[in-house]
Amino acid sequence: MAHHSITHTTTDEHAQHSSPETHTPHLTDGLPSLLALTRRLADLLAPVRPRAEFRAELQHSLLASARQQQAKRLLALPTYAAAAPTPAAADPSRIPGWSSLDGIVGDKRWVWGAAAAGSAVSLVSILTYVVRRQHHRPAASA
Amino acid sequence: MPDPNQYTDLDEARLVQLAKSDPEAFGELYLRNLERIYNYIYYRVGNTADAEDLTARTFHQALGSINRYIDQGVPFAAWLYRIAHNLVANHHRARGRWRMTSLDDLELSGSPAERPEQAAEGNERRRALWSAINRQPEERQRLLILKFTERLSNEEIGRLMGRTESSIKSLYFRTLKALKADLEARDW
Repeated sequence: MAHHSITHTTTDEHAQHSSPETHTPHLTDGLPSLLALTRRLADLLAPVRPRAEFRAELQHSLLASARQQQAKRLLALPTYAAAAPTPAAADPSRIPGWSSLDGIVGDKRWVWGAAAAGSAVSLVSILTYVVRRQHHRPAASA
Repeated sequence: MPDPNQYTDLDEARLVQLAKSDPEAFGELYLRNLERIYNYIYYRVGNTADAEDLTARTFHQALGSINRYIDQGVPFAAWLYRIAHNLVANHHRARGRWRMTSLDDLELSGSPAERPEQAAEGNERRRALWSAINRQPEERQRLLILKFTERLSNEEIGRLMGRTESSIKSLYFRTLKALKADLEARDW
């Protein structure tokens, strides 16, 4: 972070305050003591750095949680689709790994074909049953 | 998805968008914001242990909610500060000392060059100033931390606090006057 010295920042600001051309007299009343106060504040509120171990541990822990969260999103697809903000992610057909299944379910020709095949099998079964009964009946009566 | 090494070059808005689905992007956001959030919390609670605990909770909460984050044109840090602020408030509430950090908690150290009596006097003055800061409304405390610890300009503070630059300037001046009056009333 490209921070300049706070002492300079606050001093510069107060140097502006002290300019008689730019500020009313009441603002400059007690200015030296305000300036001293800002120096004390800069000294007291000096930036602190987090411990290196803490920084590394938290980074590690966050990355682990983020990866876990990512894995959960990929597994729990309805949640994934609801949480995903982008139009591409919100469309289940665009979720990686689902495009092939979506192609099968979404292809109506495949559904019609399966239904027709099922119907044909049923019809053949019924016809076979009827033909067999007719063949068995004369034998039974004889 | 960009190379993780290129995250450092990404602008914040793009990085936040990526961080919703990419752990490495969130890691970069963490690195960019850790120190400012830690500093803010440290100066609100006054000790390292609580500062670390609340900083960790701030980032974990941010990670858990990042999918609900909506970019409204303000810095991402403003969102993190809001989470941190709520956690600090809960922390003080749980300890039954809203807004007031115990002086015993404050970890102060004088300059190594100071003689013992000078150091003691210096610490006494620091404690008095710290105490005066803690008596200020929360918004003023936040302003002082952003200005002196983060070293942000009035404009940057305004963006983080949702106020105009001129209103921050005015709030800063009022805060200094109030601090001065408070300290003078206690023969500082």
